[in-house]
Amino acid sequence: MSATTTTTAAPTTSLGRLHLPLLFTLLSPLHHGAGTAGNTGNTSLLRRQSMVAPDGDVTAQPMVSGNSLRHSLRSALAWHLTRTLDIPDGSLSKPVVDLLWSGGAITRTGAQVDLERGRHVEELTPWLTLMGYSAGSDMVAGSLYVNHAHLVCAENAWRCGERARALPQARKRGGSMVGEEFGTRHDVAGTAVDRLIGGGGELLAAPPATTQMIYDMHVVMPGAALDGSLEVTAAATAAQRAVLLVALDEAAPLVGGERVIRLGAKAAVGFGRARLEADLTALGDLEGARAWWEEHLTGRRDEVLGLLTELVA
Amino acid sequence: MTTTAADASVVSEQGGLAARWLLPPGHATPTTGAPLRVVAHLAEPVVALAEHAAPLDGPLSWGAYVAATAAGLVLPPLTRDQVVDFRLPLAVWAAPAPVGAVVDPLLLGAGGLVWGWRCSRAQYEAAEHTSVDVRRKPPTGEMGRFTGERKHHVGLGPFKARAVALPAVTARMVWWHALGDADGVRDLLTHVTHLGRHARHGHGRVLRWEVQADPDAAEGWRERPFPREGGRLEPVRAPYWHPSRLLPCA
Repeated sequence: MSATTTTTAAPTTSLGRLHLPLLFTLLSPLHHGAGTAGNTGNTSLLRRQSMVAPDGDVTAQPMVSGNSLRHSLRSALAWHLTRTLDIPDGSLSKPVVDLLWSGGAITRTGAQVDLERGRHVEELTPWLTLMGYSAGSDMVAGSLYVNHAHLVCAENAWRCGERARALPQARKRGGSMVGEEFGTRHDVAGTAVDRLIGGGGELLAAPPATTQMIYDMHVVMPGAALDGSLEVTAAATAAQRAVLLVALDEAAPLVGGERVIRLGAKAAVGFGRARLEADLTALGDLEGARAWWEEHLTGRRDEVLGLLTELVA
Repeated sequence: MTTTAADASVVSEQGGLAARWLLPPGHATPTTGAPLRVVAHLAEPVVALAEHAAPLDGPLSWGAYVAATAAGLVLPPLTRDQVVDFRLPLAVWAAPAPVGAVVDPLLLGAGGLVWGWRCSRAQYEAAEHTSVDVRRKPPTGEMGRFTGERKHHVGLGPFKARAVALPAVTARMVWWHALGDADGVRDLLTHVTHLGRHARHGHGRVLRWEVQADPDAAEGWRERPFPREGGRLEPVRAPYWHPSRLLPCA
């Protein structure tokens, strides 16, 4: 190991490994799709995971993927950053937006590791080293693991956390908590609105095809619970933990004294509202973390934005 | 460049951490340890488990990496020509390289022998060989607002949408046989929360680890790839993805 490597490194604060249980209780129906609508008519099926139960049976129950939950946290931090820094519309590049909301992508080959830049990323943008990212020829793994959230039911009880196992739902079969919802879109043909969209009038060779539809989806019912968790490695820095705390507060803000988050699809039309119960004090003081993070962002605005641009160049 | 007292202190501290956590290159010599059975009780299917031998020194090296980094050790960058071996609580085997094989010097230990850890490949009874989906949706809404671009093609380029199906194994547990120190193995495994690929999305979550004495491990650890002339190219020790680890094996 070279002296250069050892003397210029940022110190790492070890706070030990952290396991943070998350308990979601659905306040509205949840649809997290399996991507199978094309094969099932107009019905979207729930995403399920098969697993071996302790009795040896293989069971497949609804779940919300860790990937989806991870995106909720990353997206919450991205929106928080653009709001805090008052980023003007139209002022970012496409790769920077992708880096902020989706973690970026490898865009070129290269074998040289830029240690100096790596330290800058940790110092200036610890949310990237928390969540992991790809940019240029670098792919950096994050210190955060976001586990799947599983339906709390008899079939899943063996792998649920202690609090979830104690719920009455943990004694019921998963199938009893799955239902169906539908939505409709009405054709405006023949309505008062029709005259506003005619446009072509008699120039149209044929009237436009109908846009009327009914769509249908399998859902997990309100009142059902999902058991999830986060793991933060012992190698995570204090800054990364503080940013995670802000991410959780942004993704699941306090509404009427309880934390409410949106899970799965069709959130814009009311699906997937869930109460989140989690002991966030395990990550530190929320007010302090938020104050530090916002002061850091605003105080070093140009450096942060400059680094994001440099990373994707 | 002048060296300050603070610099010297950091170098000294790093030297101590490196000595504790890393094996000096080329210094591994054959050793022995207690026969152990190590079990990972799983909560989720493991991605790409069937595609690799996945010997125990892989997860243990990850545990050592996390522990060493948490202790403050700054590792040199992993490159094609530079890789470290963590000091694992396992015994070591050594063998001559197969005749005619191209051997990376990074793979060699004492006496010019190839070496590895005395631990078996991952073993399991698969209830199901399945696949898991990993999806990536480009942030087109946000691109529309925060960029001045006119279009985004969701099917082209590095920022395209993806729905990748990856092979996975559904099993209650994965187990290994090894020769080593049970307490040391337990310590490192406290940092290993998942197995396999895409673990940060929750795949391969380990509910709990179990490390116990098992006389069968005295020979059972040999259930793993060993260097053999004319064999298939396989990695022989962690990190298993590193090109320096490849040798003809059977």
